[in-house]
Amino acid sequence: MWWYVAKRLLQAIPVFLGATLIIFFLTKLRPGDPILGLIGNKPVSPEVREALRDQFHLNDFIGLQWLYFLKDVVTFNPDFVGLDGQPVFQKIGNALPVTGTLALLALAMDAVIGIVVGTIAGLRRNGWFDSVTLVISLILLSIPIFVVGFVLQFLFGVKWGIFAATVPVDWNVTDLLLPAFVLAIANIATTTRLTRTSVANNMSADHVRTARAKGLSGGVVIRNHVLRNSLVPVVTYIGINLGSLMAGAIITEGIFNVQGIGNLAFGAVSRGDTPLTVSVVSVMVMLYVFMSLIVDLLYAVLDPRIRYV
Amino acid sequence: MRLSRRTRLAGVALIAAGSLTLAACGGGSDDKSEGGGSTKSVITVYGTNPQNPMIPTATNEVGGGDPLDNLFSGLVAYNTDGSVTNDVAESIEPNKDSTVWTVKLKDGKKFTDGSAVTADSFVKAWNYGANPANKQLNNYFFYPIKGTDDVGNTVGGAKTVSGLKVIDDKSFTITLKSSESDFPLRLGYSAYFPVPDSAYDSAGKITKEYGNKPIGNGPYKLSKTGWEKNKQISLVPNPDYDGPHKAKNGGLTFKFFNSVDSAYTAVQSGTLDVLDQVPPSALTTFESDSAVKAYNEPGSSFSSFTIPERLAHFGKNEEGELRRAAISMAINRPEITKKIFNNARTPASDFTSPVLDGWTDKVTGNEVLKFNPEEAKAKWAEADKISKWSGKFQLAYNNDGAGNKEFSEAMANQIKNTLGIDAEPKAYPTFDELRTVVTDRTIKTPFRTGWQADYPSMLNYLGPIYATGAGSNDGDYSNKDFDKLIQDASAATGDDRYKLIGEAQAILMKDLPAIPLWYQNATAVTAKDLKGFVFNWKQKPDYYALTK
Repeated sequence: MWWYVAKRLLQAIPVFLGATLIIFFLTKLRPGDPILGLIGNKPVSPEVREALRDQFHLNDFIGLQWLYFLKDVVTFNPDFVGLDGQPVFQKIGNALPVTGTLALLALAMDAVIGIVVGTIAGLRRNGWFDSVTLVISLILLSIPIFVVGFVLQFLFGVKWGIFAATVPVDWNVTDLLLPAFVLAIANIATTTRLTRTSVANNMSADHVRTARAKGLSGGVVIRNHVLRNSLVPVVTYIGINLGSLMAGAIITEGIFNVQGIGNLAFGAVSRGDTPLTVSVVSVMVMLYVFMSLIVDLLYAVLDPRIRYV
Repeated sequence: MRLSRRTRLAGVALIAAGSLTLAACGGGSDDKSEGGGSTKSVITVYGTNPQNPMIPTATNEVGGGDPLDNLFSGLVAYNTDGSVTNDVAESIEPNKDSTVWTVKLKDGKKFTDGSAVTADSFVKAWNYGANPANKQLNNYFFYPIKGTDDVGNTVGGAKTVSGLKVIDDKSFTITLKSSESDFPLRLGYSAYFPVPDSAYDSAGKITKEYGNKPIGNGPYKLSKTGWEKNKQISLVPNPDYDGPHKAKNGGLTFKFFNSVDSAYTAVQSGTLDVLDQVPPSALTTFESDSAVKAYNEPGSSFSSFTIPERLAHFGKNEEGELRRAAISMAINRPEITKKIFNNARTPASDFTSPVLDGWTDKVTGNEVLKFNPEEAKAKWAEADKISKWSGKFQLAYNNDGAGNKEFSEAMANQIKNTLGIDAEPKAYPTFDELRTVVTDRTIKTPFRTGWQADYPSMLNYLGPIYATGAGSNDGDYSNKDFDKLIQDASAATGDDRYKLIGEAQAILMKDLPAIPLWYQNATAVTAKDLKGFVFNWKQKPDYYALTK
């Protein structure tokens, strides 16, 4: 199993190189001179503009620019700065904890609510509970996240003042509960549907009937034989989701002013700050790679037929 | 058995991974007030992460500019109405034709590191800013001083500006290229702030550390936590400051927001005291919102769109003049400011701003800014007799600014309907893309332009934009008579000056190098218990006067 993990980690290297290369070229394809964005409406002398372009290697061949970038990243150069002259690693380091916590909270809500509700619905297929959850999850899936976000922010944050409407700089976990819930909502619906279908299918599987025939109690059958096997697709979905939760929180982070990775990426893209954009997106890519490795390892735990050598 | 062991292992791994991430998130918290145990409350204000080092000559956007204005004080300080009071300067005296200014400094002024503010603190910083080798974005502000070129670089890349001479520790002279009777009005701008000796390294460069933790001489200084990247900048009152802007509150914290919308919500919910703008989504409701105090008044920034003379049919001749006037009269400004901007803009009646001294809505020829479809059609038809119109009238705008798309579309429609020509907006996704084609002169259409003044004078809205060869003359407009009037106005004072400015504006009304659209209103919301909020000429509150 360790050999398998090592192999997967080695594979991450070409993924990293390829991802940075593609993102780097894509951001460079964007027209416009970022130096002029930096300067705004005021005039700039050609001398200063050229000097700044030189400083950020903007006049070099694009492949060479990528190599400069790689060198800074691989050597963890503390002087590696974005267009604003602020250290990239420090910015990402500041943003990761809050985004990580937000993602884990959302994931926890997603897993707990989704699996519990989905299992109950699956065990009583086509009962009233199943029908009600179906309708609710369809509604949740079809409302855009920014609608839910603004409405809940207004109700809980502004009107009733139960939660902080925006996340303060010195945040703690309770400040993140509301944004995490907003982030989790659409996923909860999907997780519920997935669990429900999977549980329902397993209820009629041969090994479950055998277990019953052996005389095992209902609870043990469901815990050990139905649920465990039903969770394989659910775990895949949830695990991969952590990757996209870390990366895809741009809208939620914007609504609640969470100073996290999503916002960092958004700001960097809109300013044409290539070093920061590529670095942030690379972090997202690596998180995704890492999460899919963990998911693959979890398969072996859940499904006795799968083993890694 | 084997299964359960594995389950446990995986569980441990997951928890470990989770708690690692959580542990990394610890930290933060308790940096309450540290303003020397004072009971005055700290005011939290909207901010954005500065995009440049916090060096006076390097900071050109509000994210860094607002904190800098509070951390430093210049030779003069701006009063709320835009007039100036001497701050660090004891006196600023001109010679007879206002080309040489002698500055004398007050005694006993200190930076917060204890070093004295001397003539050298100013001259060295300005020399540094004007030297293109130092890549300072504000170098353009030094263009009026002798020894710099049109865009503020030292001539020939020299290390010093020849127009700046230190006489002794407490006095220096500034020699200008041409006479300018209101030169001191410029000196309160952040590019002219002094910088202490400790900012420079042995090679004479301002250090990175200084850019992160600037040491100033202003009403405030950085708190212990100072500038936390992407989070906030917190300032505490500077006990040694005794100028006109002495802090009345217990400190300022610039909290960074990613969107104005979330900042607005923060004011509503009581976690932010001051937001110096209003997001488009709240424009219709903010004045009746019971959770906030609302402010809305005409402001100092001016919007227009520029039609370069190099475009076909818009040259410097009779046809061009007719077509420009026709386009201008085809636009129904009040309709747009009302329907699209909910009256957060005021239709323009000149090329400057109503908050300035000497402003009047009676500018000769400004009826060309009134909606007049018949006259517009007639002028367009007359131009067609000179040379037949063909093609499309396109209006370039940047799509990343709120409301730009809406007003460009509305305006193109009005032009289309009134003149019966093919008109449409042309979007550039980002501001810097539009500026690139404008700066490189590769743009082939009219484009949106705007101006935010550097100092409170009508001349600052005219000279830098429409004078021949000026730095922001994006349309390459050139008119000898206009140049002459502007120069004379700079040298004149009082009513003479305003008369000359009026004549200069009359020329612009005829030539219309840019079509004036509207003045942007200053809008803001604050917490209900905040006191002392007044807009100054920069559309910012006087931060030092805010209290709770």
